[in-house]
Amino acid sequence: MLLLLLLLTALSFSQEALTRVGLQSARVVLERGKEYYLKLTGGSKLTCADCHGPDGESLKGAYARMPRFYTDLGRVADADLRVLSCLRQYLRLEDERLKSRERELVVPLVGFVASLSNGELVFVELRHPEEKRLYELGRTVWYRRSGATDFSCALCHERLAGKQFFAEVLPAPIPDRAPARYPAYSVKRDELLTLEDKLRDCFERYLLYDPKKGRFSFESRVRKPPYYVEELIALELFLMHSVNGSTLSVPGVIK
Amino acid sequence: MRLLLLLILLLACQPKKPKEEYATFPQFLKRPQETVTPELFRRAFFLDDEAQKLCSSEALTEDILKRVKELSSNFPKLDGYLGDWRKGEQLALTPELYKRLYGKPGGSKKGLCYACHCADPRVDECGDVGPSLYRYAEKGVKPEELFKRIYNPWAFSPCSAMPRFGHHGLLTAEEVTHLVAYLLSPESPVNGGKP
Ligand code: HEC
Ligand code: HEC
Repeated sequence: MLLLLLLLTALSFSQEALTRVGLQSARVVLERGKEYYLKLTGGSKLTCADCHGPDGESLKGAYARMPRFYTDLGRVADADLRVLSCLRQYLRLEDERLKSRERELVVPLVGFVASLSNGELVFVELRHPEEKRLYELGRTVWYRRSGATDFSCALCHERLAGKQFFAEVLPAPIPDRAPARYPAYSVKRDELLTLEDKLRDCFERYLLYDPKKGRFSFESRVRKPPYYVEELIALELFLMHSVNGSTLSVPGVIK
Repeated sequence: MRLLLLLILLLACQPKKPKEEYATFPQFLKRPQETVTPELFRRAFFLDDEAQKLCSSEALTEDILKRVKELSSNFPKLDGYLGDWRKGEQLALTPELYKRLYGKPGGSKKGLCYACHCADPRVDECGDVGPSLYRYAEKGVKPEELFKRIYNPWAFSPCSAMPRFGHHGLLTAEEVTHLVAYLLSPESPVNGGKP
């Protein structure tokens, strides 16, 4: 009994320690995001702050409504695509500068922008026809059995949620309101992951396919969908809409 | 309306004095470059596989399950269905699990059986998505039927969580026979044999 108690305290300590370390590292990334926000410029010589205010006043609450339709882009964007589009269209960051560092710039900025909505309630609406279309697409992708393993997101995260998969318990992200904690810091990988990163992760790990043959092959295994592809943004829209009303709390910390 | 607001904002955003190039980015790429186009991704994700499409339905009706069963009735004809249990073990165990059991390299990422099943009692990192396969030989399942169950589980349990290993080419027919032996052979640790 005493042993059990000791073990439990040790466990909760290490969990706490893990969270503390994760949070610290995440803050460093968010700080970097803020620096980019204030200082980064491209061809237009504008910074993000020039348009959205030095403390991001006009961006408070924005993340809580993403993904949504943006008139200037003519499509539904998640935070990643929204930030990238601002870097391209409004800061006019040169292509060759963006190419190799794209995620290095986008992820900290998404983290910073998301943190401006901390405490707000997720409120993703389906007003624009494109938002409705993507919600349906997201739902389709969520339930679609796919790849060589015949898995689907819903298979692992609804039908089998709570079951043991190797040494991991399959999480139930919707009831657990996990999307409201992204971007989250992965302690194991030592990097901040946006919701889009995390979804690409699950594709890589569990939904195998060969895009050339349209069928699985061990030799030419392509692991992840391209960034910003409509299906990913649709999944995010579906997930965020499913946790409407949850309090945003970022950065989260994951294993 | 939003467009108008944005235009006004943009006009208001007059360029200030030129800023210095911000130069603290890492010089190397952490992630490999994208090579998949959206079209290829789409083709690969929405496989043209009728059974898969049917099993994606949110409500799995009797009709769907019946049709999936019908679609899953193609099996290769072999001379024998009982392979080599040691080769089966290599397929069933991941490299990490193999190393832990035998202290040397081996195993493969092909079977992933322990993701969902427990079997060899020495392996404690095993899933409970599917039933335990410990002492499977006692169930009295014939080799040919077990071959089919692994080659295409949807023939018996349509839309099951278990991948259609043979159907997709994740495992060859021969490899499936080795797994059959791994589950049925009395020498296999799955059935209490001492390797
Ligand atoms: C075969 C199982 C499997 C499949 C298929 C799968 N996942 Fe996961 N998923 C996991 C496991 C295990 C974890 C927890 C470990 C981790 O974070 O990788 C996870 C974690 C997640 C999380 C984070 C939950 C949290 O609490 O932070 C999200 C969100 C998620 N998955 C979404 C998806 C989506 C969307 C898909 C489909 C594209 C998908 N998953 C497909 C197994 C799966
Ligand atoms: C993602 C999950 C998953 C994986 C991976 C998996 N299985 Fe299964 N398995 C199941 C489930 C669920 C069932 C029960 C339903 C069914 O029969 O399809 C099952 C059933 C079985 C059965 C029938 C059990 C009985 O009662 O007769 C056998 C045998 C079996 N699996 C062997 C294997 C082998 C061998 C592998 C690896 C090559 C494997 N499984 C990989 C999920 C899985």
